[in-house]
Amino acid sequence: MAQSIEREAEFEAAFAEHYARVYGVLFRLLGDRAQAEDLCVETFWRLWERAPRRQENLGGWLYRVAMRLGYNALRAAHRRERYELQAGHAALELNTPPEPSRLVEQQQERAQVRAVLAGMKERDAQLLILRHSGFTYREIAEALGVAPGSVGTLLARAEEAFEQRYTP
Amino acid sequence: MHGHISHADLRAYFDQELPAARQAAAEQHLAGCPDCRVRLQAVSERARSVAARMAALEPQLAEAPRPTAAVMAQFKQKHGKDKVPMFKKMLSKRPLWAGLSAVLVLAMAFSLAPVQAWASNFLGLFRVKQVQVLPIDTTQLSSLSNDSSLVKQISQLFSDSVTVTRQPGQPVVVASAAEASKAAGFDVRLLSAGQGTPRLTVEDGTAFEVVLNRQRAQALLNEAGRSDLQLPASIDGATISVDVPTGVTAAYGYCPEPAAGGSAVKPDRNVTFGRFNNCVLFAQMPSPSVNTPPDLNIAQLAEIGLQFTGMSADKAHQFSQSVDWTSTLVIPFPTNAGTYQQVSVDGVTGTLISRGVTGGQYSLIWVKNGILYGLTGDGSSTQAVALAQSIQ
Repeated sequence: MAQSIEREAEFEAAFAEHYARVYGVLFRLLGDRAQAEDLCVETFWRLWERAPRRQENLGGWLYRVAMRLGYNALRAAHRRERYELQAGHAALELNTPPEPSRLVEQQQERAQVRAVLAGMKERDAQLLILRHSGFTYREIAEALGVAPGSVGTLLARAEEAFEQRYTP
Repeated sequence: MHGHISHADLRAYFDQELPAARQAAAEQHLAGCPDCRVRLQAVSERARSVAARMAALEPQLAEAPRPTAAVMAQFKQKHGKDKVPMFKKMLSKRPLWAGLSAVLVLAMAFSLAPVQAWASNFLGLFRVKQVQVLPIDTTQLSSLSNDSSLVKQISQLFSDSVTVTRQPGQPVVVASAAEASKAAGFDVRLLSAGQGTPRLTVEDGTAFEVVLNRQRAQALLNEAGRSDLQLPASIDGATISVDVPTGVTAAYGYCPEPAAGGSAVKPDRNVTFGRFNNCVLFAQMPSPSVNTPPDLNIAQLAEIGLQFTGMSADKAHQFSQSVDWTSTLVIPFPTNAGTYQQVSVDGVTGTLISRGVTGGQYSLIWVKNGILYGLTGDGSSTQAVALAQSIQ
């Protein structure tokens, strides 16, 4: 029993420490509150089910799982969107009541950024999301499983790739 | 610093992420190197431009995460729910208790499902002539049941090992004891007429085979941290076939409806303590029969099973040697779940399990002429024995 209480306490501590941040990266990838929350819960569920062996890299493990889930969902959503556009579903959307233009603009920009991320190499996209969610180079290195000294190089490359794809 | 600053270092310099010494050296170099300043300018501009695009993705106020405590509570709820059905599934796959499950489930309604599933896997190989309660400390088992990966594997091993050879049908309500006797193939008995008219349910028996897989079972023990317990190689591939005959449950008073295709009552203690507090269930079933290969050493398996529950090696050995495993239904009983005693009932010795301090629940189990009887309800142990004496 003591063992399970300890494990539960550990889990709760990890949850308290990382939840908001895991949500943050997932929301950036998905732009949808409910979906981000779902994948967040899925991430922690996996932690509960199979804790990583070495506790010191708990954060890295969590963000790696979250990013994998999030990026896959982003890719899937992107494919779906393209399909729906081709299928003429866009016409339906044009008939929805107008929103305040600032919101529309924001939604458009978000969609565009996500489309760019969905088209990039997985690691590059994850790198950008993590860095622009305020992760340090060390944290990024842990989450992506790369050497901390290489983050500068990888980041510079990912930004170049992003700029090439992004057309305002 | 020799030569110019690398592209990568410029990027890290912009984020102030270079190790302190290199950050300082880069700063010094930049002060005297117009080329590098131009390159830094370009790197910075791109970084800022990408940052501005990425900023669009940031959650707005209305999109902020919910309070961690609220999500945690929800998570726990979900987690708790996930845990229970897994065990229920394990139990329902092994309908050993089709008729008598009401008795056992009510007696062990709390966290005991895992215990029952575990223990009856090791201890349930029998042709019942007698009943023996075995007090066990469930602390270790409950902590194991929190390891959901392990639980999943156990559940998987069960489902891979068990083949149902005769499917049970739906419970059928019949009008009289005579009808029940005819359907079940043995003489069904009832409590005295003073107890009112029971609702009689005939529950089909079932049959299934279990093929032991030594390697996988040992792997589970190892994963549970019990590699000290070594399953004998001889058990591998042993087939155990179990035949559970048709049973009859007589429900007196206001009882919950039988759960479809499962045990006689849903083990919902809130319900039991509430509306159904005058419900008495009287279940009866010819003893299940179990066939095992003659060379399968059940006492040895039981000993391992008992040690797994946390019992010391000495105690487990002592107990497993003291029991006739071919004729004894061993009911693992958590030490903190209530009390049990032997009582005289129906002309034989029965086992009375009581739960709750004042007027709690009782389960009375006995075997007579090859039929297994179980009586369960709310009330004191005296009431239980009195009721049982009224059986006709």
